[in-house]
Amino acid sequence: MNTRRRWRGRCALAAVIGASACDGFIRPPDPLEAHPDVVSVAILLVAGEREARLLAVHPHRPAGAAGPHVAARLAGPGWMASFSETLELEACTEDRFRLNPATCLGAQLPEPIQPRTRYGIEGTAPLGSFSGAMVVPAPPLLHVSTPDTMRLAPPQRSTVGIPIRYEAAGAGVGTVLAEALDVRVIEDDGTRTEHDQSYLGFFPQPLGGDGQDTVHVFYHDSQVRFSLQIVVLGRHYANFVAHTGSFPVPQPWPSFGIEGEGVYGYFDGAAASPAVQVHLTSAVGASGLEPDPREPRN
Amino acid sequence: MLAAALLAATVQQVTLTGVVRDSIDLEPVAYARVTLTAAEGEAGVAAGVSDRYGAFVVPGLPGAGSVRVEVAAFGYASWTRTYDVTPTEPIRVLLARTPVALEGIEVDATGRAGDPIALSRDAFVVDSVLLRTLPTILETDVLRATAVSPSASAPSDFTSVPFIRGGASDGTPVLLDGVRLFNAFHLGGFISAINAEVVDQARILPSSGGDGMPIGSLSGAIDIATRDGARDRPRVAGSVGLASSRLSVEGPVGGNISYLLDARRTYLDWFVGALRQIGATNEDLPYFFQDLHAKVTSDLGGVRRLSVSGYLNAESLRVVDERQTVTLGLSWGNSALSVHYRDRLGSSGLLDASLGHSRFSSDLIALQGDGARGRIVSGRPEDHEPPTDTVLFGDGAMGESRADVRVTWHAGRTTITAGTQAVRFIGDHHYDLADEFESDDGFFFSPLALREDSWRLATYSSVEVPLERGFSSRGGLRVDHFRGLATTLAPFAEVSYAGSWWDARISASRSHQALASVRDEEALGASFIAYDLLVPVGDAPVPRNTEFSVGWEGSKGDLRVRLDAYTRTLENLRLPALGARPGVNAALGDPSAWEVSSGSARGIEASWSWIPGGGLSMLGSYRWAQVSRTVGTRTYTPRFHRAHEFELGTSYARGLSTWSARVSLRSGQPVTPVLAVVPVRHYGRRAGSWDLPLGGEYNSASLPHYARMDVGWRRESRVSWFGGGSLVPYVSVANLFSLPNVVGWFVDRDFRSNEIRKVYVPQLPMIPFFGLEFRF
Repeated sequence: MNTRRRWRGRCALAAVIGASACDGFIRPPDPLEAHPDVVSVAILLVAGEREARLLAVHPHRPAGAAGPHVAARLAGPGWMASFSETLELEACTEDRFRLNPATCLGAQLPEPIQPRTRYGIEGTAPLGSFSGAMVVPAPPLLHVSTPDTMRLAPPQRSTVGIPIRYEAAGAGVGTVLAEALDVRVIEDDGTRTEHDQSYLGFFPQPLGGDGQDTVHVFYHDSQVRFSLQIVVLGRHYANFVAHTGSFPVPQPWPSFGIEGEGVYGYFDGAAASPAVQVHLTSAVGASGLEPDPREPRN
Repeated sequence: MLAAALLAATVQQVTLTGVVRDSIDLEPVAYARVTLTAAEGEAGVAAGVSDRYGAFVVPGLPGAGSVRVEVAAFGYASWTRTYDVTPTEPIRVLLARTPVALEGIEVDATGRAGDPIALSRDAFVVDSVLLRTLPTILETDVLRATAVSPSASAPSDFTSVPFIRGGASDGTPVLLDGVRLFNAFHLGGFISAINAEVVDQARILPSSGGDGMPIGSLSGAIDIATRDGARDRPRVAGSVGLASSRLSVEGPVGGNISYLLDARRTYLDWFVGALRQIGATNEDLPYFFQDLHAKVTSDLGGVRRLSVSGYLNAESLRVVDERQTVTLGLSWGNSALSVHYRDRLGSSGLLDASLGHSRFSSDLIALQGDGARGRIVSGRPEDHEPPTDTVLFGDGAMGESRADVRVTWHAGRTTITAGTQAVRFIGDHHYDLADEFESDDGFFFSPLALREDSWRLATYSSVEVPLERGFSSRGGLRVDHFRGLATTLAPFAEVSYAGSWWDARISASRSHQALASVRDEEALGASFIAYDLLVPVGDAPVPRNTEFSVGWEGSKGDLRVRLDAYTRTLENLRLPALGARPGVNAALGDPSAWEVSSGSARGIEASWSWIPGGGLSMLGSYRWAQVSRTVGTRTYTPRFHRAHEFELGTSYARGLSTWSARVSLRSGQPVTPVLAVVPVRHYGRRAGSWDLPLGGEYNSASLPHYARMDVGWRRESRVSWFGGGSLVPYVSVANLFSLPNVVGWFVDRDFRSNEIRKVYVPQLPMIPFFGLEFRF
């Protein structure tokens, strides 16, 4: 009897241990204890535009909550402009943030944003004030290596490369992008069909920044016209987007152009080159373009 | 006149030398205390302690009159002889094992475990028996056992090599019979590469002073000595475990030579391969490791001896696709050879000369493409998609050759040690990755190309002088010439006091080394692999360690307590800059980008042993420390550091069974707090957003506390097979309660609820291990 009792005890102990082991095999995730009133702010002044937009987001609040209350003023060369207009979110971002409560504010400016010019911002958010400054980069220059009408030989792979040269120098340049605009397919009967830029590939395409590059576009067995331009963005923006991921960026952070209590984001400028018209045809024997040996990147 | 009298007295004094051995297998017994008293009275005349080869030298004895020699060692019966005249030739002391198991160890098989605190003033000593009193993780592991020292801290559950007093692994060499063994582990660091069957003892030297002076490293050393091999008769021992089996064969050759040969190999690859052959599984486990060690010792009479120890290991991971194309090939291995010769030098001296060479080599190739990922398109051979690119490739080697000559001279109560050594290191590493390589930001690996060698010539000397009223002093100086870099001085000084039941000491020391590591300890990947590639420091200044320590040790009855406090300054280290996201840096980086950096560590260590008899014993330690690194303008706590660590190991023997438990309680490792997780939209992109986690000060927060309990059971049964022997089945459970310890965390946004979560990177869950050890 004693032996049976002893074994029962041992079995019970084994069961308890086994059950506890299964329950806590791996530590479950914990909610991040982040302040709900934190606001992220994104302000990008584009050279030539007479309007400035500010996107403010409550990143730690659940979807459906109210967007953040932010008051801000932009300081230009000799003027101040308030972000007094509340705009539709689409005015600040082409694709609404799916979950984060956001606010889009607009400011009408007394003059277009000037390249190579210093701008400042100051404002208040739920947790305190913020301020920042930046210099809008100089607009780049774009030179297409071939005439503006490009004739393509059918490539062996699905993309072709367009060699370009550009000038995007300057200490404030952080990112150089190639942008495709006004994409139109010209049918054999002369009709023109407008397409999204995704018809040509993944745009904007990041460029190396060293003045020579190749823009890769999808090959279509048809004539395509589009506008190609180079956009440069400042270092604040580049610093901000460079470190996305799952692991935190410890302080001191790289400069984002904006600092404040409970306010995180960037304040930067962008400038675009004049657009160059590109006409892609599929005629055999073309010059100036080579088949792209690479597969498209997904 | 006085001088003449002193001279006459000196001339009339004699020295007693000898070797202490186990009475059964005749293996040397280290740390045996030899006490000489005048035969007519009880007054002590002189005393000494046997070294790792069992040898002792007790000088300053009167040339006339009878003396009684008493030799005592933990786990052995006391040995006493009376001599009419002090012998001038070396004596042989055979110690009989104590016939009772006081500590839960079957003494007739292996002797009793020594008290790791009491054996050496400079080291925490883990002997072959203590190894087996700790719960087994996969199999009995000498490196994991060293972590019971308060000076040693395991950086994670996945690496068996501990870090010593705030240093990293590159500053703490693992020595096997006096030669540095690179990457002395398998399975990424999970298990030691040294077969526990052959380990005589492992000394954890936390300091560069004292016994650490001949090593000349930044953060002490883990010094593993192997057994000589039985001298009485051939013996076989080994084990069959969950993942591998070990076998050792040893015995005498003639009257003066003993040999020891041991080997180990994993067989999970064979086992899974066999299952695959019979169609029981489609899985494959193309990994194995194996190691081989051999040692031959010749006793040349008295304390004279010559030993040759060789070591070889290999580890391989080889993944093939369905066309048997190797898509991932990883192979690496170690070899080491050491020769040690000991002779008597005059009447009171010992000469040790050793030569050693070790080499670590590695080879890597990885292909990428659908075939490389093992995707089977349809199962038909014609649909095989071959790998498209070689994305990782390279090979490398590092080797160290060394020659040491050391003289230990006893003059009266003074002990003088002097030595000289030459060390050559070669690092030759070439690894690269193709542009097509895709990984999580190079989690483990970055390109590396270098071939450098370095020479280090050193001479050192230390003197130990007993003073009046229980005080004694030790002092020494090591001079290193690093070819092409600098000549450095490394002094050591210590003053100690020995009371009736306690002693205390205060010491200061300095050390240098001109080797740096490619490891980036701030990378999360560093918690999962312990592999390291060392490279010579190419330019001055030479990395330097300066430390001060105060220690106290006392014993009352069965309890012994040791307290140490230390502070260290590490200068001229070579460390990587933190970068924007240190956690995703490559664990093995490019040292050409490392910066001259510094570090510091300070701490208080307490350890205690309680061995009351009756089958119960306890060994515990607590350590508090602060550790920092400074790279450029940034000072931070390294990710491997924990402020508090508590370890308790206990064993209880009843009948033939021994139960053991090990409890570890530690504060959480440092981690960077998150202030905000900000969604980021890329300019011009119409879809998709990413998160930018913005953190606070680097490593200024802590992970959750660490708690773990391992338990083990073993039972020794005598069997009559093969002339008699023992079988020891063992069962152990690591992390018995599966406490969910973690080694890091990252943020993750649940896009359904928009909740931001901390996702933890787990440590070892509960894992049972079992096996069978045998000895004949």
